Amino acid sequence: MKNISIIIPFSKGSINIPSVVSWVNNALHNINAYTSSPIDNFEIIFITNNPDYTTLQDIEVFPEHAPVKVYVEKEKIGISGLIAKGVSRSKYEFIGIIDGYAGYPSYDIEKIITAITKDSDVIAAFKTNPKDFPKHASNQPEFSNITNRFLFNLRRDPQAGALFFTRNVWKTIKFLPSESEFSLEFLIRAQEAGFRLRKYIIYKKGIPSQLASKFSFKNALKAARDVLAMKMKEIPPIHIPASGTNSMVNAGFRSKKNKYITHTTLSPRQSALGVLGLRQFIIFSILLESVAIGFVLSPILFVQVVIALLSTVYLIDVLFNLYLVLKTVRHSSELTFTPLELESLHEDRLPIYTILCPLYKEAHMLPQFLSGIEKLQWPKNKLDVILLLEEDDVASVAVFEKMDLPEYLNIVIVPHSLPKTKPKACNYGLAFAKGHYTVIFDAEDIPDPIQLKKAYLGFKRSKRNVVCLQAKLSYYNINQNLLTRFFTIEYSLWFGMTLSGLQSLNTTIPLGGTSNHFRTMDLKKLFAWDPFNVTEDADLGIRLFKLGYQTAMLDSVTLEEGNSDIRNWIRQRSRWIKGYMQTYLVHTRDSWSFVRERGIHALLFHLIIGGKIAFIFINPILWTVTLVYFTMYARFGPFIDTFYPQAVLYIAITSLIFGNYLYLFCHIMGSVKNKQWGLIKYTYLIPVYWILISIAGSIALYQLIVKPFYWEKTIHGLHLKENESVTGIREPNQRKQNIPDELTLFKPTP
Amino acid sequence: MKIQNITRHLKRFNEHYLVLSSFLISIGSFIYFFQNGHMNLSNYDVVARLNASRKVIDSITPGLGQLGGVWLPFPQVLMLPFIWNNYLWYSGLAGYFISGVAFIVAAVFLQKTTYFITKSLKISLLIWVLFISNINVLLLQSMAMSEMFFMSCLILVCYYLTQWTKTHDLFHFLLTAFFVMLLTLTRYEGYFVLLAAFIVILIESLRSFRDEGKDKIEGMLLLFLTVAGFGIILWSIYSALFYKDPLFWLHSYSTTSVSNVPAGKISREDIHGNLHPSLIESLGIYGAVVFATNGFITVGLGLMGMLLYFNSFLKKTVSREKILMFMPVTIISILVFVLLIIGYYIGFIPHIEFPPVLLKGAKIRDWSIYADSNVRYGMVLLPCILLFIAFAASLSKRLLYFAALLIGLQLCLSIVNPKLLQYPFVSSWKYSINNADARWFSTHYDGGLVLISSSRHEDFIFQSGLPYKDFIYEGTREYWRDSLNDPSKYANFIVYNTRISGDNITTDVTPKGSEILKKKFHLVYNNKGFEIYKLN
Repeated sequence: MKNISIIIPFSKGSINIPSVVSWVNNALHNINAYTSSPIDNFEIIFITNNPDYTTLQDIEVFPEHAPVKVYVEKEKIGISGLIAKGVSRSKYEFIGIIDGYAGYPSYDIEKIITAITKDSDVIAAFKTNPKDFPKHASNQPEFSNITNRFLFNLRRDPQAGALFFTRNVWKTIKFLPSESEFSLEFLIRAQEAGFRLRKYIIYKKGIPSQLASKFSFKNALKAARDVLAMKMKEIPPIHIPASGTNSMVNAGFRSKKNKYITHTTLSPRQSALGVLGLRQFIIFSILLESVAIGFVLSPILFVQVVIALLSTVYLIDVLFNLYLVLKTVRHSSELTFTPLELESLHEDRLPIYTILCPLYKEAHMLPQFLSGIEKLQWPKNKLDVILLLEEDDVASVAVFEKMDLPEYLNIVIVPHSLPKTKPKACNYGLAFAKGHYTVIFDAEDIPDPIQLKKAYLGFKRSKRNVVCLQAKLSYYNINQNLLTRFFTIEYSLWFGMTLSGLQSLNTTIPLGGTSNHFRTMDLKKLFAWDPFNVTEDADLGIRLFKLGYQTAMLDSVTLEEGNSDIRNWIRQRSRWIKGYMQTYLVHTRDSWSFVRERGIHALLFHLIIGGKIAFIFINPILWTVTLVYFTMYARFGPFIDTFYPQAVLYIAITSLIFGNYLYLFCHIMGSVKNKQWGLIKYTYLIPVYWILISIAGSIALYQLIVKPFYWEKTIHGLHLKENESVTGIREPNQRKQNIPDELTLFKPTP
Repeated sequence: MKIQNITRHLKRFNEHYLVLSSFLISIGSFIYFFQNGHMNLSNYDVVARLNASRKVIDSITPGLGQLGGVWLPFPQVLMLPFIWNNYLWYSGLAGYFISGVAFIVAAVFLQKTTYFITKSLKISLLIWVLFISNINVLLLQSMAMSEMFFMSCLILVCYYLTQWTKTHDLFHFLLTAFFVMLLTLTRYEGYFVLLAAFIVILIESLRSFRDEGKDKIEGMLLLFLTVAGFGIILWSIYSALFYKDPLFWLHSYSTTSVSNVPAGKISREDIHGNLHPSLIESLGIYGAVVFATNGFITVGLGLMGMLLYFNSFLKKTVSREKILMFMPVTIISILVFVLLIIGYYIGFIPHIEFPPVLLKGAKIRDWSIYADSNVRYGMVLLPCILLFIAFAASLSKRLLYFAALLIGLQLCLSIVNPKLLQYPFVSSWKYSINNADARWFSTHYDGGLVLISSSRHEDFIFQSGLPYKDFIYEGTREYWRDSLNDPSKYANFIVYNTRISGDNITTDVTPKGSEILKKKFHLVYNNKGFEIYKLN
């Protein structure tokens, strides 16, 4: 059953009304004549705030029984306002807006209605010969090309005079149109909201061109101003409510021409859906312009200033990292427990613990994962393990359906929707969590068997504002190759010292990929993870801190698979760096309020996240310049010298020498702290790893611009391809690679 | 109040008392030396070090490159925050601030180290007294020299290394390595300490961590080298950057003991002149210097302590713990001493004249007018000597009283006549701040740049009262190079000294430069070969 409301706004001097009325009348007559008509019911609403006798007489051509209504608005509102009023007074599912000026062939309305029900939500009629239609400034062909195509990427003419859409579109994108622009803004918003738009070509010739209003510069300027204002206007994403009152399932929003089901009610402003906020965009533009102007006005001075600034940022970052490391050398602030404390826990008093494990095309990792879960010292009847499979991962679903899985393990199929990311799957899984506590483990993880008990005790011991406990991460295939060694060295520093140091400062902690423990209730209050952020964990860590909560480090290790393939590693790392960039941009959208609320910690955030990103890009510059300087002095030395006056030279050299040395030292200390003594000798080669990080950083930056929330999937289980072990874990060098040994290695010293 | 708290309060009181006493002694001795003919400036190297620091900010080519490529730079770098001020520069206070603080740290940590090793407050205070009453220590702490800072770091190395051998605390380990690193940036003897500390760590690691696998031993050593060796790497980078030779110091080290000397190969003959000491003679010279400068009773007691240590070690008459506690000090002192002797023999260490008090007809080279100042090298091992005395005193009360008696005797005799049991620098260092040539120049200077070889005339520049940026010297790059070829290009005055060797203008000026000097300059001052020329 298809019903349509046709709204025809008009004002005094709408001299084409007879033509429109005639067209609509004919069209509707045809509808009644053919039983195959796509329309069952219709209504025609004429609306004006300035009626004249002639026009009203024209409307009377409709038969008496025809459902025609005429509204006269007393308020002085423009055409856009009239349309909005008309729509609000209409009642049918489909809505057509017909400009009082235009003329259309009667048969088109049928076709449009058919199309709108089939494969589109909005149809904008498109004229064949613009000269046949009345003109005003914004439908000058050149102007509309510029505005539509370049400003809005909209290849439809919004001023064609006919617009058809479903009521759902109107309800969803509810907005207050500006005085002079309705169609353009409506189409932009509909497009942003992810509705399907189509153009429809009308071949009928319209009214004589002499009736067209004259082009005036004033009109053009006004239209241009409106269009620009519209461009500057931030079109907020449109919320899609959750399906239940106590759940966030099926919640999401429409934005960027898509419909996203995120399973969280996290505000889009707190999400990485948009890369740059408007304010950030303006600041960034000003910065870019300043760079360009500086470069043009005084290139040498400009480069000198840039080098000095970059070097200073780099050095500050290094010194901060050193401070964290030295702080941790003496006093680690991790939560540690004695064996007695752990043994004294009464199993019958333990609550249900939920483990979320998102998998995507990783069925081969399941035996290892199950083995790890089986070893967890937590009563199995109080374990709620949720394996999150994606709807389109048919192969994995098939494998799991055939398997005889333990009772505590549940499979949840995450329905297909955008964005297709791990945090979205986790958000969905969270709705099914029965536990008082929730933790995330990846499929390739082997958690410390007593980690859940430690986390349970950790929450008991910590203040109420500690809402997350982060276990340390390391690898079980440390010695597989040089890359896994580097990776371990880096993780040892990050989880062993840096995060612990951050905790001791009671500052923000970017969470690691897995083994984040939460009270389920708190996690829901925090709106769980941002599905658009590809390091959703880091983002969540910052978000919870901004809300006044804390994260504590847990002295427990989860072993993961260190990426052993360089291309796979670059994919993974570029995603992480991109995620850090997203996190940095999300949490600097309102820098002032961050500073106001969290004081010095806001600046530390810049060092923790911003500094890490800065290092990736500054380091190769410093290295390259140094290498070129010393190896090709005769050719480039004097040229480089011009950019390094004495003061800048000192800053740059200090940054390079002390910076790299201190980073090296910090990495060594990470290995020392984790008692991975054998790795220290490899630390001297870590600059090679930094080069790889910088390569991944460049890819990340590119991806941030072109596909910001694309999830570069990391292939897991590469270690399994080399050789087998009884446990299903393959270790290339069996020396000290046996899993239980590794776990013992990280046990707290009594 | 619990007994533990009282003890803690007392201990803290002791520490505060020690710090305060050391501070007062430091200030007092500085004032004494300063008031008595500026004895804190009575060594050429003091002025050269103050100048080396000053040149960084006050030169026609200022910058870190002015620190020079021969002397290790750390003490001069530490002076930088003070040296900008003319009074602090000319009075030597800029250097005293560093040496004085180093003295206080050394005195306090020497007491702490002794207390940690012997657990005896009496012995630790006795050692402290011995240290702060040494006239040469008091003079060195008043001067802009590197020895006091070196001794201070050496004591800190002994303190933390000894602590680490007992606790295996990573923090102590890192501090040990850190202070070794500072040593390697302070004096080249620090390189020997690095080797000695490495050996101590190796021995202790082999002893304690063998069961934990070779990875741990390897890791510990690498961690130590990474931190402790950074000073050497830093110095090499500095040399590469400013002198285009990472081993510039090695290629340039000479008896000149000043910065900015041109690079070149130095032979044993260059170091020791016509004297060719054998290894035994080197031992004799260096041993004599150690005895003379530290005091005969002090060194004698220290030697006794060392012999007693070896005796205890071989006969196992003291606890294994005590032997191990003294192991770092023993290894450091013996190894550093041996390496110093070898270094002296091969010419790595500059020539040392016999102290006149021991001199009976020994040959003194006429060119080495300042070589006497090198007797101070004997002081660097004083902390180790004192710790051996502590060991001896800790063996029995009788030994403690014996040592105390001798130390008391030494103190009394020092008051009567300091030269009786020691060779005090104050009595023999001849450098005076009354340089007649500089005095003349300061009254006749009427503007313009002065071409001078600073390697031999730091005292002249210092006493002329002119800012360093008025001088063209070896470290002023193109100004120096161009001036050797055409002295009139920048300079109004030329200091040309044939009275002593080592004036680089007399040796390096080109024939064209020499010609221009004769044509365009005229002699305005001549004092036994010390000539000053002025542009016509």
